[in-house]
Amino acid sequence: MTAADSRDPARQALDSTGQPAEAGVARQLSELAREMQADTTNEALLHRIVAAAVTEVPGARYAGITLVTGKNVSTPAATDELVERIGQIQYETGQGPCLDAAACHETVLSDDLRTEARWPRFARQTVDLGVLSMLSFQLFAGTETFGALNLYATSAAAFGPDSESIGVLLASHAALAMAAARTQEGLLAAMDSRDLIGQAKGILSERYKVTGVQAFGLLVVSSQNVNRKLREVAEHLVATGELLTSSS
Amino acid sequence: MSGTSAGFSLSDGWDLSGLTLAQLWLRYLAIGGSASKAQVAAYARGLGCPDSYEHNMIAQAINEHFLDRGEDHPVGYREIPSVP
Repeated sequence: MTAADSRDPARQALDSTGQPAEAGVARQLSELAREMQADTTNEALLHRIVAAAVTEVPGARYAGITLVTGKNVSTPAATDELVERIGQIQYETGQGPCLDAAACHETVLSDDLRTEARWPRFARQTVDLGVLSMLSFQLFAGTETFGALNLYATSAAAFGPDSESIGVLLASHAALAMAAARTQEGLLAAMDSRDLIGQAKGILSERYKVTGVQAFGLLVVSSQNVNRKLREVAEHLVATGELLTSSS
Repeated sequence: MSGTSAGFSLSDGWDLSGLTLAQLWLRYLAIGGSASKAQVAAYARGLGCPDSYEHNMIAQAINEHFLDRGEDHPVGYREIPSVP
């Protein structure tokens, strides 16, 4: 779809299958919602979301999801290799609309990268790849981790009000999917940590003939003495048999 | 032989940490806790905490957040044993 198409009310009224565009978006969103409840992997779901973005968001030619962790920028889902390249440019230049959407704002629009003054180095390199406008939506923002859904177009001013309203709906689905994935990762890490601490308590209970509660207390004392997390103290004990103390 | 360490109360430490209840609960589960999210919220606010064990697990969960930030253990413990 061209920029002119995206701004043409008659063109926007029907989607590529000849159905009303709003019905197409609603269908896509309900399918995505069902998939979130089904046994679909997070990776597959994010790929479905970026694929839906280029078919349903007026003006979008490419789409991708960007994760920023500290200084690292990654692209867990993209419709094209070009999207990953743009993510790499942001990483290399340390600037770009995805980083702004991720770090500062809910939505960032750049109508014409050829005249973009906010991220000049990023804009110049992205124009060289044939991308002239971008629209980014913040997915989540933590203390050190941010995520954004990014839409790209090969023409200037490709994104209109409809692009923002539909894009934000897809972004909310992506945000929920990523939150669920992060919760799952956190629970898996917690289970791993519990197991390790349980083993360490067992070792101390046997060694000192103390209860599990007292063994936990010994691990806490060790954590305080060496200023390290309980999991690390337990890991060291399980691996070496040594309970860390300040003099270890 | 056991003692109580000085420091912030659970409630003050939790407020200072900025942890959400979900984040606090996950940290508590990770070190072996088994109380529900609602129970952890109540215990951390000083309501109905059954014993020093539960208290110390919540204290440790909050303190590990401060450790991640390069700080020490600001929340106090109750009746912690000394190494035999």
